[in-house]
Amino acid sequence: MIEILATSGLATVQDGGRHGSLRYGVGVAGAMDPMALAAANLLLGNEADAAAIEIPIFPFRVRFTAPCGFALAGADCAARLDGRALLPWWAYRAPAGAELVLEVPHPGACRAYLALAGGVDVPAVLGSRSTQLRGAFGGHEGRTLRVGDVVRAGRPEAAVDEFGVVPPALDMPRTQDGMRAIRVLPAAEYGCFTAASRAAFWAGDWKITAQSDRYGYRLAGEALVFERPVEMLSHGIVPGVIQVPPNGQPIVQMRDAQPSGGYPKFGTVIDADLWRLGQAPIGSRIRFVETDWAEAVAAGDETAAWLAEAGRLIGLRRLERGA
Amino acid sequence: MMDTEALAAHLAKALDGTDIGLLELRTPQGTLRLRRDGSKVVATTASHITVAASSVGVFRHGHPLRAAPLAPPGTRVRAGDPLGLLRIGALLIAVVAPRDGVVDRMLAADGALVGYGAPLARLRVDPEPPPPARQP
Repeated sequence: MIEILATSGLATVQDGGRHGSLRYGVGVAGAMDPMALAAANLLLGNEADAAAIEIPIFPFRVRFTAPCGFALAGADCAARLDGRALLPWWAYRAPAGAELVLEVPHPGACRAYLALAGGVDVPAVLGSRSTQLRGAFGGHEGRTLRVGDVVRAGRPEAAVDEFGVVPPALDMPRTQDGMRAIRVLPAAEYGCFTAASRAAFWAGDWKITAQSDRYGYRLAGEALVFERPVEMLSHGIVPGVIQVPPNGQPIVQMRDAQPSGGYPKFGTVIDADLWRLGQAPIGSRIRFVETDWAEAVAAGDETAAWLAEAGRLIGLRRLERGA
Repeated sequence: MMDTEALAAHLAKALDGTDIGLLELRTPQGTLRLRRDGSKVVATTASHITVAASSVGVFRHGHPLRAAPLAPPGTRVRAGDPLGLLRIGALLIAVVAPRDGVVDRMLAADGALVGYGAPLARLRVDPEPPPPARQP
């Protein structure tokens, strides 16, 4: 069990997402960086998509009220356990009473994940433990965590070996001109934009504005211009869809996106790159790279293969160490 | 070269009648420390230990996300503190200090592929505390 001692806001319980409920108007939610979520869980012997705490604002401080295994992944927050410096992307054992502090992360990533042995124990709603903020259900009482909240671990007594995993972004780097490179499939209304706008979209930098969160990333760059006015009825959308409102500044739908929208769709960030975008800090600049269906599928295979191999090695290590 | 015991005896004799309180001699075999205890000169067994690789892997002086090495020479470490990391595929395993001490130097380069048992770091360890007195 952990008790929240300090939070700067917006920390939520998230798992792999609430899939299969879009037809009821329920968004997927889930971790903004599912690779970090999976890595932290695997280090503890949890299911890769078990629930953990997603922390986007720092500092964040908790106390372990009982001995418990935990793992950190995602942004490197120079974490300390009772003053002892911890390594990022690493599993540890906390004694009862120990205090864990996560500081403002090193630049380059913005969300940290705190996984607990056995996963964060909150009731599953519609098949997921993710917090659905819009509907105020799932996760911990359907809301962000507050000081004084107590969060339970599924198997706090489970054996934990202290070791780490290489951050996947180091094994599968994707940058262009020093910026995060995010692969995009052109979407239904791509052809409704001028040729110059289409070229500028791929060539220019896009800044993640301060109006970016789990719902969507609002980008700033050279405005995208419609060839002719486009009017559309609302239609289903998914995380990754890049909508263009009349001002020409695109919005990438993220995990807490509404399941429908009416803006024209310029493109879709491929599923295999959403975790990279989910770690792009506000104020950073990104590049979009045009891709096609075959490459998008191959990219999904690549991340799945990385996780499978990491999971295999972690499993062997835990077995060898009796964890 | 004479063995450590003979060397210690020789140096202790040479120190007799001086007012030198502590002598530390560093040799490739380790460090010999002579300390005055009342009127007697005693040898304490401060020395170096070599920390070896527990597995085949790539030795890293620091975490791949961080620029700074974990324990550059001169760092005081406690038993269990990481001196470096071994990368095995996607895994990272800490190479830990077996005892309290001070990092003397790294014996394998950052990024070096090392085999099982390869020397990785040298630690100047603190003298063991004396064994507790026996109850009569």
